Formats: sequence, structure tokens, C-alpha cells
Amino acid sequence: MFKRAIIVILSVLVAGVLFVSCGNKNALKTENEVVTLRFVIGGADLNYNKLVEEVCRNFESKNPNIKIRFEPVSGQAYGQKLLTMFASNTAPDVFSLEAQNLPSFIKRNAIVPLDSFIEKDKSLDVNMYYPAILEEFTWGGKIYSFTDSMSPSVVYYNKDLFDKAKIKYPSGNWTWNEFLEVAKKMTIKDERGIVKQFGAALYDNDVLYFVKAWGGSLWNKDKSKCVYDTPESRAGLQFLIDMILKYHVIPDLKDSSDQGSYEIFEGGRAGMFVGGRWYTVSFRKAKVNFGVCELPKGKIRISPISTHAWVISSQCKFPQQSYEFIKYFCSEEVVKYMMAQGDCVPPIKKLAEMEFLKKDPNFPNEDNTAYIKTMAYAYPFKEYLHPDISWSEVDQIVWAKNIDGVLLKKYDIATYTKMVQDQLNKLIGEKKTQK
Amino acid sequence: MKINKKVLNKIFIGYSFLGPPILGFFVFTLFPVVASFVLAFMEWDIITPAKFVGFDNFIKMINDQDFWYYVYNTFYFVLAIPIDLAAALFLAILVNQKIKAVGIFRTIYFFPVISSGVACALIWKWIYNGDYGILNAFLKYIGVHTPPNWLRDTTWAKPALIIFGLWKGVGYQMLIYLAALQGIPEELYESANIDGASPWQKFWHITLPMLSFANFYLIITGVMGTFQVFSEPYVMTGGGPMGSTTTVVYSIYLNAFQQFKMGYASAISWFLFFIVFTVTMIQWKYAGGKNYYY
Repeated sequence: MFKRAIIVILSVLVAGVLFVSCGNKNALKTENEVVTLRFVIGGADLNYNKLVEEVCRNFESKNPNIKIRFEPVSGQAYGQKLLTMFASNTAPDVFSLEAQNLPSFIKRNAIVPLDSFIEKDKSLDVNMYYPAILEEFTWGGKIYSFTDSMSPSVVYYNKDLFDKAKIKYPSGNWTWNEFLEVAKKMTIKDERGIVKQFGAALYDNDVLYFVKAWGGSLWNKDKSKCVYDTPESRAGLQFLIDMILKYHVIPDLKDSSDQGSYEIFEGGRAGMFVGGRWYTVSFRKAKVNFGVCELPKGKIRISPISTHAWVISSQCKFPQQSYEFIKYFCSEEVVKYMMAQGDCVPPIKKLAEMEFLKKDPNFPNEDNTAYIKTMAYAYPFKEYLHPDISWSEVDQIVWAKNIDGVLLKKYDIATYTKMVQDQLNKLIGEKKTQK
Repeated sequence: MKINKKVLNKIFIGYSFLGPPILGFFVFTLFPVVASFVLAFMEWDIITPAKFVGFDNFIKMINDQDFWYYVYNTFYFVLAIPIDLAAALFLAILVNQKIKAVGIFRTIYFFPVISSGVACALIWKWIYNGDYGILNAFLKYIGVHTPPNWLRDTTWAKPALIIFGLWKGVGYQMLIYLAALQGIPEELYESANIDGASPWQKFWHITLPMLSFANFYLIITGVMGTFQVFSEPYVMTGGGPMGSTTTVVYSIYLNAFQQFKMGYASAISWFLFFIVFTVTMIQWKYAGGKNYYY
């Protein structure tokens, strides 16, 4: 009887396997037939998904031979889902990728470069994009993506709060020390010493910006070594930490996590906000009367760019069609369309410097000059990235654990930078021996 | 055993009912367990093919100081179980009283159990906030002038999560105790009254022994549960500050799904399995073998 039971179980299993494998139809198609591209994007909100869907439909009407199967993935599990698709050989043809994850995918040969398509393509001039954008997507001399939208970091200020405090609006031509002075004036504490209104809030845990702006760097030129532990890095970090712990003009980088730092600004609890243009959507919704100006100057003047990539997977069956789709997605037409939504800066230079600067009737009170001025010294996120070490590993070391000690006053900045440098160099050594 | 058609038919029907759960077990439990065992000896980042590395993952784990800190954190949470059980028993005895509207209290205490864990965690994050949290406002009101900044303090973050876990989970344990309490025969208390036993003696010599099976169940499941603490640090602290609330399971999550070191994460999983297995066996040996009053 036991034997029979096993036979029954096995046959159920086999039936299950057959059932699953039937779902996989892979017929080869020739060029003239209609092909369907699977296109996956992740982590975006519903509004953005709707825009993307519309772009897909427009592309289809222009290219009757290509159909787009659009599959948005919501939530934080996008990276895991993508990898699972790769592991089970069901990777999409085209998908979105945060710029920081590019090297991990390139290292594993999971995505293909666009160079061979660009060479054949006479109609595309890649130099229409900002050089920093091209730099962002270029690894090992090969380019992997373009983009439809991006934003450098700028300073937003709440005009109403500035008026109330009778302080002049920042012009954008300023240093971090001047920023600190303004922030001090904007900070209001109650009788118990608890901050009711912060001078400013920072959108991101971007400690590396302060390192760079004071002349330091995470890596050396060829990224063979971590050079975090320098007087320049320490000075930049010291300035950031002082703003939090000494002057209390910005919230503790991690304490604000139950309320996003942009919400603090949105709720009128911070005079200034450092971030990218995508936040303006919710600022407008919250009816914040905001102005925009350039980031202050440290030792040097820089601003980090945030953007995302559209890439072709190595499992893609129709690379040429996929390239056409990406090209369309990052073309003038779509970039203009995305620009009109008012949540980004166009990555195409010509558009940015002409149409983007004109007053948009939908947002009459906004002046976009600061973004374009910023682009002159904006740098890609790539500068933080290492070809062999994933961003989440770097992030764990630079940000997640070690910096807590500084914020909780358990050790000083010199200890922290030394710790980060040692741990990252050890990691580089491990990766080398693995090779 | 002689098998005729009828019996065969019955067997077939029986197993076809069993089929789906067994299939589910094979696909979603047995297969991952076997796969993780194999992966524990490999290096795999999901995309590139796995590479056999022998015991490297385990050696790396043993040499990893952070890992032992996470093991310590996990054991710290296990120590909270006696507190949980004492609180649950106390509440159970309270709501076992024959007073009016006791159902309302039972509902209130049970409510957190059925509420969304993430939503609760977010609210407690607010409660614990060092500057404007309601808890510190209260502490200052009653005279504690420098209350800790709970979730941002390496000493207090773990107790803060334990308190939250107690609030969230005590209702369930209370319910088990309540059911057990109501199963204790009245006669025992009656005869104790005749003998002139004090309430304390009755609790100590009747109630507690009669609850030993409930205790046993709650301790075993509680230990298994706390060894797998994940959602509280995930939502409330992100494992911080300085890793002080990173549990073993949270570090498995970080390694597997943030850094894609599947092999290393699998090795840790099997280590955790052996700890839980050993602890549970010890519990069975020393507590499970006793004769209960049922």
C-alpha cells in the first residue's frame, strides 16, 4: 500500500510539473512578425506607472510590429523579483534599474551594452544627453542605458517661513557656512529645548556628498582602494555632524525615519530642504510656497544627480526591438512628455536649456534656472560605486551601521572614517582573491 | 494486504485529498530546505552559477564578530519569554474574573494580536520617539527628566522592541491561558477552600500546576518564535542602532536579499536551525516527559 501511495504522490508531482511547464511557449519569430517585449519596471508609484503605460501605447502605435507587455512591480521587493526572474530564465526583455544597481548586473553579465546598436544607428546622437548622464551609464567603456528623466540636488526653501523670520531668500550663490547661518536663524526651539522647526532637512543619507564637497573621496582614481580616511573627508563629515549634533539645525539623519524628511519640510517644520525635483509634486499638493536655489559650496561646488536606467537583459530574445524601445523611451518626445509632469529635469541638454527654462503655465510660480545652473557641476552617482562591490554592501559599511556610532557619540569621525576605509579595503581584497 | 478495486478506489480518493497539501509541502517546504542545505556549501548570487566552496561559509560565519553579536541579540529576545508569560498569565487571571463586561477587556487585550503588525510598529515608533514621543512625554511628566531615546539608543533599543512585542503578542498567550484556566475543575478549589487554603496557596498548588501543559506549549512555541524575530527590527529600527537590534533572522534577510549572498545566508539558516532544534530537544527532555494532571 505504501508503494501505491508513493506512486500516487509522484504522479501528482509529475502532473504539477507538466502543468507548470506548459505555460512556457517559446516559438522563434522572424523579423517581420509581431514581437512582444516584456517590459518590467519596479518601485514606482501608480502615477508614474500610468505615464509609462501611455508611453508604451504610443510606441506601439508607431511600431506596429512591436507589442509591449508592460508589467509594473510595486513595493520594495523589485530587486528580489528581478533576480528570481533571472534565476528561472524568465527575465524580462527590458527593465528599469536604479543607477546604483547597474554594476552588480553588469558584473554578472545580466544586461547587454547598447554600443553595437548605437554604431549601426545613424539617427541617434548620444551627445544630446548631458555628459554626466552618459557617464552614469558607462561602465568599462560601454554604455548600457539612457534615461528619460533625472534630477540634480538643489535647495528648496519655504518662502512663507523665510518671510515670517524676515530673512532674505537665499540666492544660491553661497557657501555651506552661510547655509548654516541661515539654518540657525530658521531653527526654532520650544521652552524645553526641543526643536519645533528645523533650519533644514536633507532628503537622503548622502554623507558621501559632504565628503566630496570638502575635497575628499570614497575611492581613489582607479577604484583599487578606498581612500575615505583623509582630512578632507573628515572635515566634510564633521560639518554635517555638527549641523545635527552641535547646532541641531537639521534632524538626526535616522531619527526622522518615522516621518520622511521631505514631510518635515512639507509640514512647515523645516525652513529648507535639500533634494531633487521629484519632491515638488508633493510640495505642490501640500501647497508649500517654495523657492529653488543651488546647493551651497563646500571646498568645491558639486551636486549629485539621481536617475534610473532602462536596460536590455542578456536573456532578451529581441535585442534590436528592445533597443528601439529604449531609444524611444529616452527620445526628445518622451523626455518632453515627462518634463511636463513637473517632477524631473530633462536629461537632454537642448530641451533643458530651452523649453525647460520657459515658464510652465501649470506651475507659474516656479523658476527652473537653479536646476540648469546646477547641471554645470553635477556628478553622477557612479562616483560612489565600485565595479566589484555591490552598492548595498558599500551602503552597509558607509551608512547603515558604522555612522550610528558617530551620531550616538560613541566614537569620533576619525574612528569612523578609518573603520569604513579598513572594511572596504578588506572587501576589495576578498573580491580580488575570489577572482 | 489484499487489495481489491474498492479499497484501491478508497486509497486513491484519500490520497487525492492529501495530494495538494503534500505537493505544497514538497514544493514550498521540502525543496527549499534541501536547496538551502546544498547552498550552505556554495557561493551563489542568484544570477551567476553557484560555485562549491565547502565549509567556507561556516568558517566565515564563525570568524564573523558581527554574527556573534546578532546571536547575542537573539538570545536577549528569548529572555523576554518569561516576562511575556507572566504578563499573559496575570491578564488571563484578571479576565477570568466573573465581573461585568469582562468581554470588553478580553477584546481590548486581544486586539493587538489581530491588528496589522506593520501598522502597530509604525505607531510604536512614534510613541518611542525621543523628542515628541508620547512615552517620553509621560516619563518627563512623572519626573524622569532624561528618558532614553528608545530606538536610537544601543542599550534601550532591545528592551523597547521587547515591550512592543509584549504588547503585540500577550493577547494570544492570554487566550491560551484563559482557556486552560477555565478547564480547571471547580472541585479542586472547593476542596482547597474546605482545607482552609489561602488564595496564594491555591494559585501556587492548584492553578499553576494545572497550567503546566499550557506553559509547556507556550514556552516551546515562544522560543521558536523569538528565535525568528524579524518584523520588529525590520520595521522599527532597520537592525540599528549600531546593529543592536539585528537578530539572526534579520541578518539572514540582509545577506540573502540585500547583498545576495545566498550561500552564506543558507549557512546561517542552518546554524539557527540547529540552535532551535537543540533548545527544543532540551525542553522536551526536561519538561515534556513529566506527567501532567490531564
